[in-house]
Amino acid sequence: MVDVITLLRRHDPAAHAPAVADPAGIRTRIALEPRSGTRPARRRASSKRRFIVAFALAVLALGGTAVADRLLTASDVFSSPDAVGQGDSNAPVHPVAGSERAVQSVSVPGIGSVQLWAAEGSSVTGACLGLRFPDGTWGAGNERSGGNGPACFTERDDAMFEGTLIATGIDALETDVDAPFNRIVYGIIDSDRPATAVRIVDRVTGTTTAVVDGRYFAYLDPRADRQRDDHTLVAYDAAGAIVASEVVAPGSGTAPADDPNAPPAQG
Amino acid sequence: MGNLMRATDEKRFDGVFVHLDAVARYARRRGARDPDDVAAECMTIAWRRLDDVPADDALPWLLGCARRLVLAQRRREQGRVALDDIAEPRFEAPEPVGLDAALTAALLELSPMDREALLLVAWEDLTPAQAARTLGINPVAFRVRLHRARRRCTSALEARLSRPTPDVRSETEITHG
Repeated sequence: MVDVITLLRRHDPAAHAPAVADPAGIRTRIALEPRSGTRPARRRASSKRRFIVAFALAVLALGGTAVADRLLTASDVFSSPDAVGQGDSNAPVHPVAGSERAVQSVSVPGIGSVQLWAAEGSSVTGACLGLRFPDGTWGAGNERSGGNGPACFTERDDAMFEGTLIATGIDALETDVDAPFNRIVYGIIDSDRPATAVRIVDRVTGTTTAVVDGRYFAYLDPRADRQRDDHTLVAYDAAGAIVASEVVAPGSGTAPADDPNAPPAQG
Repeated sequence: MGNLMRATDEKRFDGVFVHLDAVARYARRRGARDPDDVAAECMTIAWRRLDDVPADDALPWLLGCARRLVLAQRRREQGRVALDDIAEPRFEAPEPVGLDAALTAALLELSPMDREALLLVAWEDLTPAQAARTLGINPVAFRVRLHRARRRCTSALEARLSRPTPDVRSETEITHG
């Protein structure tokens, strides 16, 4: 049995590529080039934190967290290196102690009631989310589920390496389960906006789900189709006004909401 | 004072320059005509803009630089843009080269960002956090992309099982990521 990443590595076209010729000469020539203007250096994560993050990532390897110990509480899970900051040393997020709670549940065929747990994040734009299965294990990355595992993260992107964090509107995560296949979509609407959302609609499948505490949502993709995972999420407040939106086009990952009938994408 | 600053910069740049080979390998995998030249040019840009290069981990920044340079090189070859234009109005990624037909076709079914997410982990051996920074997205969003990319690439390969190339046939029993 070969994973696609393993297969790609076996066919790596640069696996036996020679090292760059004359690195010392290149280095010397570069040092003769003028520098541009300098700016104050940004604060960096401590080496201890980097070590913790590196260790966590070594444990995580690929494809989601592997927190499967059924004895772990939400506090344990969200505080673990697996979850804290998801390895982003520039913006690590820790759970606020005591804020962990189950916010919603989803009935999954063959599994039962899967709970969405949340905790407030230690930064203004941070939050923690995770799915807990009926037997007490946490998804994903265990034998029966893949995708996102419990995570504390900043709800921002840093697209230009400048520490300028861009709002992402709806952060939609997903966890798949097998036997039978099902996809749980869950997430959070930007936590530094007024928590006014009351429902969220997937315009692709027509699924409507209540938004809890103005921010959190979870639903089962009714298609139960491994190949079809596109969605257009639109969050509304009680007056029917659009709060945020996110579009994932078929086969293309997240895309701008360029459908004239779709609301403006947030981030 | 100037000499001290210069020495500090040089020392810091040494930590950037250690990635020279990794950047060249990235350029080679993405079809650069002269991967060593791309790597050297990225290092020159990094030296000029050393204050913009994350001090704790320069590799994601460097690979982002290399991606833009390879794209710019291809555009130049196709006569699409001016020589110095490496602007990026929307995400693009150079297509992988040197693979067998089935793997290439499966990868090309992915969006450029999903494909790049998969390859940054598979070939560049980046952690999810590093790859997320390379793409400029948050790590959780990256994990969603990686998960989808693995699933879609696996499906695309499975769809070709009825007509696999000899190179891949022996390994075509694919697991879902």
